[in-house]
Amino acid sequence: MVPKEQVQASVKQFILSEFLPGEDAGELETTTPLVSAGILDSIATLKLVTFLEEQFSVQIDAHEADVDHLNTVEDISNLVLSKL
Amino acid sequence: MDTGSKTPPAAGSPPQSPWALGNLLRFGLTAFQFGLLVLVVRAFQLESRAFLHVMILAWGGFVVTQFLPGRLRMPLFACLSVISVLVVLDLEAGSWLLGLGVLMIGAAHAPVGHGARVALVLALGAGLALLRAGVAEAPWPSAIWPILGSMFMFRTMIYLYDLRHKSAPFNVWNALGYFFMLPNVCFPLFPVVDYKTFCRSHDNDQSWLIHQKGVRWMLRGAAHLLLYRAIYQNFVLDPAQVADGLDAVRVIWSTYLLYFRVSGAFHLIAGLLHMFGFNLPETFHLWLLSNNFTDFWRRINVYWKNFMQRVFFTPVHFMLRRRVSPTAAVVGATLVTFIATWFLHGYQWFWIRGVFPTSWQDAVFWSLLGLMITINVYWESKHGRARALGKFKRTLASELGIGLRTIAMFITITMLWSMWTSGSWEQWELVLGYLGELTFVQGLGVAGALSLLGVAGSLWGRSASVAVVAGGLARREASKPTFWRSSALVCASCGLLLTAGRSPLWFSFEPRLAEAVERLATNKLNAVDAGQLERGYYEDLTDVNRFNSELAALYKDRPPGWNVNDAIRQTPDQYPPYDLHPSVEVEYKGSTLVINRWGFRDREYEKEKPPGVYRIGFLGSSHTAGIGVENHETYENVFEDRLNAELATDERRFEVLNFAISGYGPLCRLATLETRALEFDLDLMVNVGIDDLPWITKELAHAVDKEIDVPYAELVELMAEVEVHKGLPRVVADNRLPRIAERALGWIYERAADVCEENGVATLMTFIPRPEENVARPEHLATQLELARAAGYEVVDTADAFATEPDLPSLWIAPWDRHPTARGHRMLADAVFDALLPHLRED
Repeated sequence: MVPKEQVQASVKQFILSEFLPGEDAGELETTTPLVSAGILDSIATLKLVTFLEEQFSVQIDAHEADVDHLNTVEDISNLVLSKL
Repeated sequence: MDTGSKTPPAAGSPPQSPWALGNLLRFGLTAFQFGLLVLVVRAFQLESRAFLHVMILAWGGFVVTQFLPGRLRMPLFACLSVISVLVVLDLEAGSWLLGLGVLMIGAAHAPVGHGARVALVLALGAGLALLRAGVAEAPWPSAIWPILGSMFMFRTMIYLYDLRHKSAPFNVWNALGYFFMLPNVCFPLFPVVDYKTFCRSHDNDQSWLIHQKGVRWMLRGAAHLLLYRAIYQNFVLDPAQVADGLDAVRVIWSTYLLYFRVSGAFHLIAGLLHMFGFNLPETFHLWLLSNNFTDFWRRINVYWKNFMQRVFFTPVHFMLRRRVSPTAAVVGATLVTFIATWFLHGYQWFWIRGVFPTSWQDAVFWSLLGLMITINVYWESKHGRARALGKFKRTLASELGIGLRTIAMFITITMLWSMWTSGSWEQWELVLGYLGELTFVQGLGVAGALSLLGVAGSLWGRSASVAVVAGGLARREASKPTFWRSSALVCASCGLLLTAGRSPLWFSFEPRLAEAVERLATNKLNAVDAGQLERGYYEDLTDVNRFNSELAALYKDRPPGWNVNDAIRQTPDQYPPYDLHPSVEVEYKGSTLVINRWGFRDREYEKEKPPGVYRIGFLGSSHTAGIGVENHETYENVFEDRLNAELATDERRFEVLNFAISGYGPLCRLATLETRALEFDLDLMVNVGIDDLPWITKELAHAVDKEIDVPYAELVELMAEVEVHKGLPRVVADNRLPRIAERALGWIYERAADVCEENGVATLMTFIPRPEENVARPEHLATQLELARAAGYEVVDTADAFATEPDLPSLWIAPWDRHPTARGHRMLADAVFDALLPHLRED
């Protein structure tokens, strides 16, 4: 089982490098809203899903690619862990 | 962007008990603001009278809801929603709608597999669609169709989707509240609220925060609707009347700005739902400040975007992504989403109007919009878009870039929108053609207006295109007005509106200002639509432009076949190009038309005048023919009866012959005079006009459009002067003919007067009024009077026939048809009697 902290770190790293280049990593907390604040729009969400599937070898369904499951780093890690 | 996600209660926020003093104070103030908004809706007649009733019901429900435990709030909302259906529709129609709705919900929960449920719902939907298309007659009133459609056409898809994934709680109250959602019964166009968001966002924050947002949004909605009305009344121009470059800009911009109607309605709806705890996402967020196509798509109707994303874009992308490259999957899913949007747009109009629209404008608009957004999406998927966790760095170049993109986007979308809403390609071409005639000064004015938009875009337009979270988000939250400040703002704004709304009282010192405010405060047709309504009966304009919500609202209640006159006989080889079948009796516009043996809507008369009879003829159109009233109620017959009752003697009595036929303007009247009326040995011919000046343009343009020969060489020569000939597109003819209208009308009057004189018939002219205010009559009337007098006519005055009636709509035969009622005809008969009396006594 991958520790939750490791999943969170990996997800944070991906979001920072892919969508927020040059931003201060300390400002992205595990509870920072991503979908509802517009950081993850529809295309970014799909990119994140592809990353999660490849990085953690999980399968995410279409109906899970939404604000309920992907709004914060915390939500994302919970989704990944529920599938490991 | 607030999507209604669960947020923790604010630090230091008051306890949730409704009886706590702080909460009671906040609740009282919110209820007061809500009450003020109800008064604003009433004062400005926003939306419909039904909406006012629903607002009052909602206000009562809001007060009760606050003192209910949380578990009872959704059931109360569901009950209020059901009651609103019965309040707005009558008991019979409302019961049908509720029954059909419950049947659909039941089908979605049938104790079978998901596939079988979907099949069952589809079968039910298909059956209803067949009835909607008129394949068979439905046993319920037709008024329920648009509302039934708007409640179920999209929400059923989302409901089944969520039911399949069990992504929200399902119970009877949620289902009733979701489908019959207050205030949907008043709005055929309603936001596509997502079921999961509907459930998840309910009471997900402090009540007073949600409620205060609700009243703010309702105020914004009211402001948008008033802005829409100001544009609708003062800015909209008939494309056929475009005369220079500025007019063309006016037409192009106004078609897009009329979308404030939808923006205002959606804000009102979302705000009202907030009052019941539904913390829904904001829609139409500063939509005029979009600075690229994806930004436009994200701002303009977020409910639709979310619906398409959940039901089409994401599932299609998931299907494609393992088969093609990631970029191709995104592009493919975007294209599918836009094809579906195009289809669903037509599907929506099918339920509202009963006809699936298939127009080249739709095809081009959705294809171009889909293409532009796909290109934008492709760009963003390759290069990303600006996002920031902290404060976004503003530079002169970045601000200038946003401003210029905002301007470019506005120009592009207004051009696209004007094409989409144009009646024909020729019409759009005509308007665009005038853009080249912008003068330098006009160009400066247009550039100035666009520059202001660009400045607004760089100041406030960044929020939806550039996500700013963390520090930025916190700053944004901190900059929101507090509850008390927000309440003060709402109260002050409502107070101002309610004060301004009393225009007769406050602006009596300046009649034009009072009139402008009154136009803003009443739900009336503008001059363009009033003209179209008036044209509708004689040009059979039953196909109301699908974007004309004002006329559509009137026409939706009109019985089928209202405009079908079976007494009309087409005579394409002569002029007038139609007349009436002799000796028939038909039902038309709610009355019986009895046509005499000579083909006129009148009593029977001998062609040869009997001895001792003074014979008067009336030439005219539908108002004189008495459309909408019975034969004995037409003003011409009432006038005849009064003449014989008051002036007849043993030696002298009166016969008044009616030669008027619906749709006959000055040219048809002249042709009728020459070819038919003179056979009846008249003593006096009364030529009855209304708006002859615009009407002569319509008559000539109609002849051009239908390729009918105009029987007078003088008129054909005049038309040739402005290059109008048979086969020219109607809209171009409409645009050019006003340049010769005065000369054409003057010639027609002169000819009619001469013909009477040559045949020894005395003649008079009168211009009867319509029972309405909004037709641009005064300017026409002055010119018509001048032309008639110059032609040798004596003009008798009947203009004040309806002057004593304060409630002119009470004189209309129906809300969608402004022909006068029997009472209106009696008023006209009195006016005609008074005007003609001196001439009859002299004789």
